[in-house]
Amino acid sequence: MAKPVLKKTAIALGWLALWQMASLIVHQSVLLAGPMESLRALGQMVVTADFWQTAAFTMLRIAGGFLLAFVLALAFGTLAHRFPLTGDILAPLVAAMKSVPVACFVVLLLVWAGSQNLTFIIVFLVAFPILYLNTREGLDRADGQLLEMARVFRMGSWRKLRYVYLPALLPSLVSGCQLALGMSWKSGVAAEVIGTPLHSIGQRLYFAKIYLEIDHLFAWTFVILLLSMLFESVFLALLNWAARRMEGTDDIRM
Amino acid sequence: MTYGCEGLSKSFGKHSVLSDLTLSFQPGERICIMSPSGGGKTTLFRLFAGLEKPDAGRLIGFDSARISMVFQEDRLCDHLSPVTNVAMMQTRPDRDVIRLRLTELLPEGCLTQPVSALSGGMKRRVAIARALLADSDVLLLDEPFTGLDEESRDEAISFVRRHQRERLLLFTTHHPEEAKGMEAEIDRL
Repeated sequence: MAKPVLKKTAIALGWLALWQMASLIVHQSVLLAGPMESLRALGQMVVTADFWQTAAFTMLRIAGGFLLAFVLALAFGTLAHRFPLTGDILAPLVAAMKSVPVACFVVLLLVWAGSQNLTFIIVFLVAFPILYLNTREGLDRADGQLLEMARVFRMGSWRKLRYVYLPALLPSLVSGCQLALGMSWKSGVAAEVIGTPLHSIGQRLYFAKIYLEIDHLFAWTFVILLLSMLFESVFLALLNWAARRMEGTDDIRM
Repeated sequence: MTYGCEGLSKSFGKHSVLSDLTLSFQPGERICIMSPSGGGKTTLFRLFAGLEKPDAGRLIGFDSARISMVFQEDRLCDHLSPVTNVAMMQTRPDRDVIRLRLTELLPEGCLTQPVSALSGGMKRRVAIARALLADSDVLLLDEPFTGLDEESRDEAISFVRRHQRERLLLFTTHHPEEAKGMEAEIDRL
């Protein structure tokens, strides 16, 4: 237990030292701020109410967009599995959401909806196709022999979902969530940098670029990393907890 | 309530599996259906279970009956315990009663393990218990004792006989001694 932690700490410290050395060599904080300067900038930021307002603004919109995408992807993925025509109807829309660059959506949304809800909608547009396709793939992978068995025994829909579909769906859904969560933060913040909604992390990054405050840029990047890791861990832990409870494996003692 | 079929025929492509078959059964009967390999036993059970549609003829009673079945494969939910595999087929499962019934076939230590951790013979016994303990009117057991050693097979036969109750029980086998052990009437296809 102690050894892997020590190893990881040593590796992280090694990279930080390399970063510090690089910033000392460059010797211009407007080009490359070192870890100490970035940490100092972060320290100055976190004591202000503005920092928390900004972090909350972005976090809530990204989480909201992702959660809406999650719920609708589950619903439409299930519908498309059950009624393939639904999948055929949705296919062009999903393909467009998947392939159209985020920048195009950002420009359109700035015209149509303004910048304040931009993050929420962009995250939804990025996360939905990933989660929808993974939901369908998971459901399509359900064991045909078990489905036949469920049919003969006339298992109800809830039990079929719980015992036959869920084990097939879960691995696909978890990997989809991991991918979609990463993409949500990347695209959400990128959209904010373009649209600069008030009190958003993207707007702060934009200001850091304008005023050449590279230490603030690194500090905000660190905040983004931390928030995305926190949200991903909490969401996946909740998803796994809910799935374990639904699966009915409580009586297993290995 | 009478169960059976009249003039039942089923082909797969040009291969005729069942042709103009008529059978009749009563609740509580225990019938062993025997035929050489490829003789249509599994197809007949799949027709009774509603998994195949007949090309001609009709089924009697099976459409409205609650059916439980042992397939040639175990078809268990591998990540779940034997108790949950049985409980999922009951309307109001009492897990303590299920545990008690399962100990008639399996060592108690197995009941809290996922089915994937059990041996082939143990999985088979779970599949048998699932069918017998399910809420059903008709039991279809397709080669239920395959893969069991002699002692386990005798235990399984006793279990099936004890828990058949007043339900119609149809099973297939290639081994006459299993039909004898089950004290079943033999129908040859």
